[in-house]
Amino acid sequence: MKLAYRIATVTTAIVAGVVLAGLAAVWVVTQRLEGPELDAALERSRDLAHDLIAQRLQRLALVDTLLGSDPAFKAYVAEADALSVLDSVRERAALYGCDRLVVTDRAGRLLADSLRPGAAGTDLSGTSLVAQALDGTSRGGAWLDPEGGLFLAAAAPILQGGRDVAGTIVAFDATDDAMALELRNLTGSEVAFVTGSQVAGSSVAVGAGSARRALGANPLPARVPIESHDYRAGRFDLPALGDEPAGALVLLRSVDRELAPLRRVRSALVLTGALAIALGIAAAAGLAGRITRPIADLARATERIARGDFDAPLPRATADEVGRLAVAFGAMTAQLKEKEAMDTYLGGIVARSQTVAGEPTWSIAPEAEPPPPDLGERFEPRGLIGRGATGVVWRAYDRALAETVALKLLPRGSLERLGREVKLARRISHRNVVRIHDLVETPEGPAIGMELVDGVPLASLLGRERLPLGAALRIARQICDGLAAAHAEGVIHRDLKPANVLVDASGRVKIADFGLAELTGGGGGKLAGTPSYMAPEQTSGLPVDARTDVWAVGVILYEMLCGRVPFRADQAERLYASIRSDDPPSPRSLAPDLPEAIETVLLRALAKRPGARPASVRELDEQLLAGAPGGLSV
Amino acid sequence: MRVLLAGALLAAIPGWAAAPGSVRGTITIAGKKSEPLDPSRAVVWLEGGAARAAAPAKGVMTTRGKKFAPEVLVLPAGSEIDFPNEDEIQHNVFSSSEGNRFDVGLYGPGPGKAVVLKEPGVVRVYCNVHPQMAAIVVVTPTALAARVKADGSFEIGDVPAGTYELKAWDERGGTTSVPLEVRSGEVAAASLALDGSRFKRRPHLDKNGRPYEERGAADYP
Repeated sequence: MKLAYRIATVTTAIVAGVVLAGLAAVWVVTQRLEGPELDAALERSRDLAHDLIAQRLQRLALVDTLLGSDPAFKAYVAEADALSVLDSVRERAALYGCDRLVVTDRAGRLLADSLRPGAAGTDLSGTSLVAQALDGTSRGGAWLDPEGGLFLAAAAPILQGGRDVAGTIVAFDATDDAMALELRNLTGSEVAFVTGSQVAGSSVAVGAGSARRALGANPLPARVPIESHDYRAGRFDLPALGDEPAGALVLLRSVDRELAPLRRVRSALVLTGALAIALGIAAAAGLAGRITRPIADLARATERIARGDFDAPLPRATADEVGRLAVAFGAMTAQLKEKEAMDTYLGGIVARSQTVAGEPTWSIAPEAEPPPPDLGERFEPRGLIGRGATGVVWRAYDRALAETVALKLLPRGSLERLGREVKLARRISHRNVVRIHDLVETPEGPAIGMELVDGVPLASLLGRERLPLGAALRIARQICDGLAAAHAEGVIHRDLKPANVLVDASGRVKIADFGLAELTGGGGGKLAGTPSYMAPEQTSGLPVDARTDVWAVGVILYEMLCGRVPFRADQAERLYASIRSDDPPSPRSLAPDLPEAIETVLLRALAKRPGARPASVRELDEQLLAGAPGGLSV
Repeated sequence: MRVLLAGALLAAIPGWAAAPGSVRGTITIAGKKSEPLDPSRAVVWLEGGAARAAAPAKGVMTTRGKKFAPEVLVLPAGSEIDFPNEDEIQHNVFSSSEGNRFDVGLYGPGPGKAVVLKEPGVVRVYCNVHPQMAAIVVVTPTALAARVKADGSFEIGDVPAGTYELKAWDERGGTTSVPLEVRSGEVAAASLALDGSRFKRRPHLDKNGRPYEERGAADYP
C-alpha cells in the first residue's frame, strides 16, 4: 500500500500543481481585466450621455424657436400680457413635454414662469440665464436654479421685426430621476446628476446616507457603494449655461454586474479545476492501486515463501513486467520447492543409511580395495572410488594440477576407439557435467582425468522406493541442463543412465562419461550392459541425436517417479522389442499421486518416434517446469 | 344608412285648418360597437315644403375658461354671431370652413368682433392659441331647426303644413334625411338613426393650416 500511496500522492501533486498554476494564471489575467473593462464601459456611457444631453438642449432650443416665432405669443410679450404669456407657456410646456418655460420682457423682467406663476416681475436681467439672450444670443447648458433644482436649459431671444429683442424664452428640462432613468436606459450605466454635494436626480435609490455623500464627493471615490453593490464611477461636468459649472453627470457601473460574466467564467474554471483535481486524485488512487496490487500480492506471496510456505498463491501472470516477475518468481519458487524436497529426501536417506549401514551411502566401497596402482609421475593414487563397465575409477592427486581428481583407467588400446567426441567433451564446462581434464597415458594404460565428485550415482538411490516428485524433477531438470550444455557443443551422450548421473550431498547432479559410449557399445555397435535406457532408434542401430538423450532422461525420470524402468524383459532381444513397440505402463497407474501434466510430459519424452518427443532437452526442461505443481508456463 | 319613418297622427286640432303643425322625434347614434353615443351635439332641421327663408337671428358664443360656450349652436343663414371673451387671457377665434371663413384676430377680455355667417353648412370654430378649444355652428337654410336634447329627443314647433325633408347632422354620424309630411295642427313623428361607427377624430389645424405644435416653425431658420 505504501507504493500505491506514493504513486497516488505524486500523481495527485502533479495534477493539482498544473491545475492550480493554470487557475492562478487565469485569476491574475482576469483580475487585471477588471479595471479597464469598467473604465471602457464608463467612457462609452459618457459619450452616449453627452449625445443625449446635446439632443435635449437642441430640443429645448427648438421649443424656444417655435414659441418665440408664434405671432400671437410675440404679441402677448410685446403687450406684456403676463396672463396670456403664462397661459401660453403652460400650454406649450404641456404640448412639448418640457418641464418649465420662462419668459421675460425686453428688460429681463420675468413675464411668466410655468413652474412659479406668482413670480412675475422678478428682474432676471442680471442672471447668466437670460443675460446673453437679452443680447440676442441663444445659449444652452446646465442651470442651477437659485430657488433649487438643476436643469438643462436653453435660452433664446424673442425677436421682433428682425433683430429687435422683445424678450427672452428659456425652456427647461429638470435633471431629475426621470431623466436619469432615460439616460440609464440609453447607456446601460446607472446615472446621477449632482450639483455641489447635492444629488439632483438619479436612476438608483441613493437614500440619504453614505451613498449620497459618496456621489456628491469631488473627486469621486474609486468605488461607490450603493445598496450593497459596489460601483465604479465616473464624474463628468455638464456644459454650463452660465459661466460657472452648474452640475455634473455621474455614471456608475456595477462592479458585480459588469464583471459577473468574467467572474462566472472564473468560478466555472475554479470548479472545473477542483473537479479535475478530485478526478485526478481518484484516478491516481485507482491507478496506483491497480498497478501495485499485483506487486503487493507478489510481495505478500514472497514473504510467505520466505517463511517457508511454498504453496503461497502467486498473482496471475500478465504480459507486463509484474507478470514476468511473477513467472520468474514462480520458477524460482518451483526450484526452491524441488530443492527443499531434494534436501528432505537426501536428509532422510542420510538418516536411514547411518542407522542401517553405519556409514554414508555415497561413500561407496563395494569391495575390498585393491592395491594402489602405479599411476606414473603425475598421479598419486588416494583410494578407489568405484568400478564401472568402462573401467576402474581412482581418486588421485594430480601433481600437474595440484588437486585431487578422479582418474578413470581405461582398457589398454581403447584410446584409439574413443572418438572425436571425448575430445569434444573436454570442452564442456557446466555445473551439471563432470568436467574432463585430460586424456593421459599411465603405466596402467590410458586414463581420463576428471573432476572429483563427492557424491553417489543416481543408480544407488533408485530401486528402493519412488523419489519424491520435487526431488525427481530437480534431478531430471539438472540432467536436462547438463545435457543442453553438451548438445550445444555437439556432444550426444548416448549412454545416459542412473549409473552415469552422480548426485552430491547438496543435491547437485553431475553427468559423467560423455563420449565413452563407444567403450560400452552404446554407440550403436555391440551392445553391452543393461540396455533399459536405450532409445528405440538405438535398439535398431539407427542414427542417434539429441532426442536419443531426451528418451534416456524420460526413462530415468520414469524410474525415479514410478520406482521401475518403463520397459523390462529377461532377454536383451525381448527388451529391445518391448522398447520399440510396447507402450510403457501408465505412470499414474504406478504412482497415483503423479500430476497429470508430468505424466503427459513423461510419455511425450518416451515417444517411439524421435520427432514426437520434445525437440530438445531444453524443451523437455521447460515442459517439466510448466507441469510441476505451482509451476508456471513461461 | 337605415332610415325609419313612422308617420302617424298623434293629435288633431279640428276646425282650424290654417293652424301650424309640429315635428317630434328621436335620434340615435350608434358607435363602433353599436353602443349608443351622446346625441346632444346633433342638430335637426326641415327643408323644402312651405319652409320660408330664414329670418336672420343673433347668436352668441362665449370663450370662457378656455372653452367655447355653447359648443354647438344652430343659426339660420345670414345670422350675426358674437364671440365675447370672458377669460383674462387673449384668444383668437377663427374658422376655416368653406363659405364662412373668418378670423376675429387676437383679443383680450371684452365683446370682441361680430361675424355674419352667410352660407348654410357646418361652421367649425377654433381658437388659434388653444388647440383644445373647438365649437360648431350649424347654419341652416331655414329657421325650422332645433338642437337635439341629451335624451335624443327633439321638437321643431310652428311648422306650416306641408311636405318636408327632415335632415339631421352630427359630427360623428354625418347627415341623414327623411321625407316628412306635416299636417296643420298635427304633430309629425320621426325617428332617425345615425351611424357613428366610422368616425375618427383628427386633430384640427391652426388658422394657417398647420398642426398646432408647429406654430412658429415657418420662422425657424
